[in-house]
Amino acid sequence: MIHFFCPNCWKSISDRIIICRYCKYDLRNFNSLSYEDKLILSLKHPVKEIRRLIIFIIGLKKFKKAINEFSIMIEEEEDPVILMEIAKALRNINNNEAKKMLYKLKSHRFPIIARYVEQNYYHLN
Amino acid sequence: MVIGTMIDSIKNLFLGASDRVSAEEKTRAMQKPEGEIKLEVKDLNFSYGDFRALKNINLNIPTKKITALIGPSGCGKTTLLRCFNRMHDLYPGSRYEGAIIFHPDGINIASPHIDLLDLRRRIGMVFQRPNPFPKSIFENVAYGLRVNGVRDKNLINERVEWALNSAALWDEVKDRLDANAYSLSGGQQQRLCIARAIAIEPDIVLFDEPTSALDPISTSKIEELIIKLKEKLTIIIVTHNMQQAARVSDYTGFMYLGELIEFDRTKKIFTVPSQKLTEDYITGRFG
Repeated sequence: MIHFFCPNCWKSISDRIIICRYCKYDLRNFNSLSYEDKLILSLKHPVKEIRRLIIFIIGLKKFKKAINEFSIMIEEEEDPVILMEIAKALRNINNNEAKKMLYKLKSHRFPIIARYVEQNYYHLN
Repeated sequence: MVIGTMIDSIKNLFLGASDRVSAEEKTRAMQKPEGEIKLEVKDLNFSYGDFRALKNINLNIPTKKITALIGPSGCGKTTLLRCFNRMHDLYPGSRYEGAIIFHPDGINIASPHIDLLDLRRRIGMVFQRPNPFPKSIFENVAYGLRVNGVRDKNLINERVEWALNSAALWDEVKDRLDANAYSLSGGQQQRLCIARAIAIEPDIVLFDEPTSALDPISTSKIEELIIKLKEKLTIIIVTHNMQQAARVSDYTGFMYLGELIEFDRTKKIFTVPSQKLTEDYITGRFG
């Protein structure tokens, strides 16, 4: 069975509604979004595997607009696997802003992340 | 005008997958792969009794590449995979229309007159859960060779060692080939099943979610193995794990409600999909 989610609050909804009954998001707005903007919205997806995939795709696309979202996620995200995926994406994007954020990750509150970045991306600095 | 837009939106929400995509978009969504084609699927429809599980599938599977099939549960990806070696024939009431041409011979796999034993020798399959035979490690790999008439012991020994080496298992089992296959870990059992599938040198190996029952380390070993195997074989893999499809495959097909919505190079499917449905699936809008 296929489940549909509101792309704004990510609650499970019917595929036959126009306005989300939880957050009142107008789903017609979503249909007019670019793929890149959909990727940004999906960084808040409740399923970890989807968030990880989205970060991976952002890295492949070297999508710079996502760096701002990453800076919020680095503070809030509790899952080290997601944080490692962000580090990989930043490495792929590799502009000044991404390098600064990667440097910041070297002193992340999770020692495993700080060590991972230090060991894998130290040569960037 | 607002009411008109709302009506259009409501209509769109109720349309089937094919109705949402124009003919022009469909052409753009089905990219023909480069190089030789191993399987050519033409207007394939497949039904279980009254239920049409696959609808007008047209697809070219490239030789010695990895092709991934992705899509939500019930979209028909495993059904399509099982058509390629006629696994559905084990169940009554299944019906094929259209053709699956196996190149270079030009055999139609969907034909009722095909030799199924020969077909399954040439198109092997690895399932979601490891399913070794209740035999020794050696006999699991040798079994297919014996069934296919190989009697020369030296040749069997050589092929078993080659297959276990190719499946990156030889070093772990070479000193206990007589041990029961069930004594291996889940990941080792799955690599044994891969060794069993490749021992008879098939042209194609079908993988049906081969790592969904395995831990991350075993998953990584199987993925490395699949990438290595494409030097010799054509591989088709069904996976729920989209990142796995992105990591290992060269081409990806996205399926929805029994239809193939988009087929293209994997990198393109994930970074610049041409169909809105593909975008929405990748970004987790449905699943």
